[in-house]
Amino acid sequence: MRRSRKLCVLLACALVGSLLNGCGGNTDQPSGGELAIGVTSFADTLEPTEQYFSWVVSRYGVGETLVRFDEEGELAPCLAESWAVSDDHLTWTFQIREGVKFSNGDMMTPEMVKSSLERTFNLSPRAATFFEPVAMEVDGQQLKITTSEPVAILPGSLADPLFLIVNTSVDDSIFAMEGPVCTGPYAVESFSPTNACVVVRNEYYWGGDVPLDRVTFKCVDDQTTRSMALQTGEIDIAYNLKTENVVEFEGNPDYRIQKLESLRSTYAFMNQNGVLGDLALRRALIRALDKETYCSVLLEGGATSGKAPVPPTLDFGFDELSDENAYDPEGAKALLAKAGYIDLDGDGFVETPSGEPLDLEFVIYTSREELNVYAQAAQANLRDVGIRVTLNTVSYETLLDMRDAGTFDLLIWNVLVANTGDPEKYLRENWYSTSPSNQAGYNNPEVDTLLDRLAAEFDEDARRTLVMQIQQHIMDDAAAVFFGYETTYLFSNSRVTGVQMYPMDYYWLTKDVALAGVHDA
Amino acid sequence: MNVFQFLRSHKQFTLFLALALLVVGVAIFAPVLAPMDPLEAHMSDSLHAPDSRYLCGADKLGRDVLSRVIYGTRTSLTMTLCLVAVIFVAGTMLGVLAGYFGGIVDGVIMRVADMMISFPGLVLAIAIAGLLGPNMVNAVIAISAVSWTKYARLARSMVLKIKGNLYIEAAVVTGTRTLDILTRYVVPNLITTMVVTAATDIGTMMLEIAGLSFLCFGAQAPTPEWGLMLNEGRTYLAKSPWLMVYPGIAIVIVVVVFNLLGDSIRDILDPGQEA
Amino acid sequence: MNKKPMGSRLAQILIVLFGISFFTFGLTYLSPGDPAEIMLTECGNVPTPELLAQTRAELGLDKPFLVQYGRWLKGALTGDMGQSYSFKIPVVEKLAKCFWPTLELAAASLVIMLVVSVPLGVLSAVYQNKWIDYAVRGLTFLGVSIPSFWVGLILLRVFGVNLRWVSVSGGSTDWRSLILPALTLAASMSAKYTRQVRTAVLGELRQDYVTGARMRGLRERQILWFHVLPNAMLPLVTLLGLSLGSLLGGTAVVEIIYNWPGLGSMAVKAISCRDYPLVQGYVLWVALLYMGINLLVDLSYKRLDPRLKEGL
Repeated sequence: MRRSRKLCVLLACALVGSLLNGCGGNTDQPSGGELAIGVTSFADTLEPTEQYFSWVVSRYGVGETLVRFDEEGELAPCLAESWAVSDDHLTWTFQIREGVKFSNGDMMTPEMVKSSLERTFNLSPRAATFFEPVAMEVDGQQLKITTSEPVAILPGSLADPLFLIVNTSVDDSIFAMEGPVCTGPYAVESFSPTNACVVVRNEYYWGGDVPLDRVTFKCVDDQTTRSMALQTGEIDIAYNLKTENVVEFEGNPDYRIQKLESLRSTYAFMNQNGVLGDLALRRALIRALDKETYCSVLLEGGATSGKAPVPPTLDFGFDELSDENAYDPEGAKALLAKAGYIDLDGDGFVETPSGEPLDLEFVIYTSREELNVYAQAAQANLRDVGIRVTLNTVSYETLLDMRDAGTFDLLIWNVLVANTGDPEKYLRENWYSTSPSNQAGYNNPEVDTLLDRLAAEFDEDARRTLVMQIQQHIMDDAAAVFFGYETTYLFSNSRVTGVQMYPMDYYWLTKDVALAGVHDA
Repeated sequence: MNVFQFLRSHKQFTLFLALALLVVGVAIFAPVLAPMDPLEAHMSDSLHAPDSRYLCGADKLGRDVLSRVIYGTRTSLTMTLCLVAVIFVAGTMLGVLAGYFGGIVDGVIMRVADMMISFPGLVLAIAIAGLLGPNMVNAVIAISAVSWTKYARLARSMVLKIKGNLYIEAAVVTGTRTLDILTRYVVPNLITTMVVTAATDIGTMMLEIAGLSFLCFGAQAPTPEWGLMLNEGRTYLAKSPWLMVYPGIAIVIVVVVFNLLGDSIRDILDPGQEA
Repeated sequence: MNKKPMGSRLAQILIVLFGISFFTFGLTYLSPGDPAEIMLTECGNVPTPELLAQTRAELGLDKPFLVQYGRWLKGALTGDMGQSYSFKIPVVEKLAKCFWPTLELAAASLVIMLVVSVPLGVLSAVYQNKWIDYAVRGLTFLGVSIPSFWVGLILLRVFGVNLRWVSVSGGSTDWRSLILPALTLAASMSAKYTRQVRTAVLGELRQDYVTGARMRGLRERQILWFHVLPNAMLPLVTLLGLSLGSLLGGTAVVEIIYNWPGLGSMAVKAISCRDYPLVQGYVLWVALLYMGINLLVDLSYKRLDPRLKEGL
């Protein structure tokens, strides 16, 4: 498969310290022990059909899906052993794995898989945005899913944790606070939304031995505190630490730093219903931004600089796309002057061609530190070419409101571009003219046509070409500022083994995570 | 007694006044004093350690921390003085009205004051920030809304005392207009105490504003403001402690100066009273 | 004093509580953002209009303001303040959960504060204008001038990371993680109270009865312990009440820095998530606490000060 080639290369693990398995030489599969993992609180409940809480259920090693993504972002069998699509591209057949038990000991049958998927479609408004089945049938050990339109990304969709398989034969009202009954290596022992989630070994796990007795996911929302907690040994693994934390652990053999160029893209919508409806202004704006410096210097390599909707991590022709709006402050000034943006009152900021003061409102939200860095750096760069920008920092909830109401000039957005392993859904959501998420007024009939063709295309190479064409249009239209693509870090204590970063950020605690033998004696 | 003699006989006050004026001077002459433009980003110097070029180092965007601290004096002083002026005027006025007129006016004002004082100040401030959008003006409004009550209560209790005096009764009997009574007899008798309270409050209020900015509900980027700078520097505490140290020191120095000045004003005007 | 003022005090409290609840409700009602949509879109999904309408109806958000307020008030009177949007548990339960850590922190910081400020204040007053007085005054000046968030971060860095004496990740409420937040809170309070104690003791030392006692030949120490201190502590009771009131409301800055799971950090979270029922419940609870404590302080004041009891 084409798009994984790059991923392999980029999966660079910076092994800062490695644990030598010295005297004592316990090379057996270590078993027993407890771990604490520092996370940011994300889920209010563990009900998988609510919002994105299923991601947490999957990350905590509790829930599993029919299909999963492997270390290279490729689809791999999980609760389904194999799958195939019919010749008319409308029916997918999944071979359900035999001998899988839920954490309460119940056997997972194809009927239960079906009823779990039905439950998801009934309860989650999000499910139908992936695909809408017209029929689901059980045939022996097989599950057949039929759609009315061809859905090329159906197996990838089922790999989204939203579709993790729960035991529907138990009282599902307890899922929210006591955790769902699933098939993963661990099962929830206790859960408190802002405090901690404790999971224990699932004795019925189908995939081999589960090394740890108990794992505590501790909510430590503050990034600085989380880093300190890892340093003091209160937690063994810290998620969501950033590049600025690297210095605190670098060179210390007690810690291991992993790094992965992720599928997360940060960009800013430009609202074409306001002053940014002017293409010349949008182009000048993008040209004023030194995105390379933001990513390499300000974020210290915490991101790779952006130009297109899909990051280079996925092979959709990033290097072949031509960027006419690369960094060029002088060019930006010239563009502005040519389009009639001139500083009339001598305050250092340009006025619009009609003589109105120009002040762009840039809406950002608080929880991600790098968004603030991008926005402030952009503000400073734009000041240099004479465009005034006012930052408006709001909570994520308010940001959503503002996006839906279209009350912004620029609005920051940070998203996983391929949660089905493919950018189709992401491109359609944001740039299809009638998509409800497209509130920035972007409307290019050609992009719409290409997106419609993409939806029905099953051939890999043809899909790649379509995605490239769509991207080129979006870039030429200066539809958004693509700031960069996040590099994610995982910091762990060297005594923990088997911790692995996945491009699809759905798997944190897996059956491979274990404690090395007691070595500090 | 002329000004010079007054200053000589109150050496402490003079010293602190000079220091305070120095701070005000820094605020006024910030453009002259600051070695660089506080907003100009030299991104290649991101988190540059203090050296001969950046005396206090550079922040994330490569802006000169010293210049930002110097300009921050402007932001902090302006906001604080506005805040103190607002609560001083509003609080005193409401307190005088409540105390002098009593009855329903008193009841309404004092119940609202009770309400405000038992309202968690920060929550109100954040709620106001959410309602109006976080910025410096709204931060001032929010803190004013919960801080005026202290002045109102103080003014009211003093008016109640003053009202009992014979000369007020005499004025009422001789038909002096209410407004005249208030401005001629009541206010002059309480203004000293109120000024002293305001003067000793400057430091506290400065801290409150910095606190709101620290929580991102006050000044917004790229404004050079100490609380906000501390918040920005917090992320880089391990690596770039100067981002945290210098704005913190600036706050402490300025607050100490104004607290000392406030106390010496109190000692002079109102020796019996202590905060 | 007769019973009547007590009754009217209670009436006043009720009026104020009513006002506060109305005000908060109005404020949240006017705030931007549709709670129904917030509930549905917390993670970036665009809900359908039908779903929105349904959720609105479920939450009673389609009713006029006064009807909504009435419904809420009726619930609140029976101890039901609704369900928290973001925590999915009843507001009362959430408040109760967050109250204990806050109480713990308040108690610890008050104890530290008293242990520090009373001796220092007394010393500084007794040795007025001696070096010890100057030292104490200098310290208190610094204390009231240093922002608590700065102190907090520095303490966290030094004791949590460099020295590893105390826990840094917070979230738990054992005594070790209690130390730093309590110290941070106590630092600025101690400064304030030391000054208060000093002033009060100085004030008492100037009283005639002290001169009288001295003339009667009582020893200084006796005068200090048995006459001056009890009288000087009186005004502190009021202040202590006020402090307790604001401490029990949760101190957001310190709680956030130390990730302390108390009321203050909860309130900030609730506001930024626009969890209106929780915000309303919180405000009402804090107001109730505050006024309750004030009432207690007034009552104890009367008990402590015989002059007031006699009705002057």
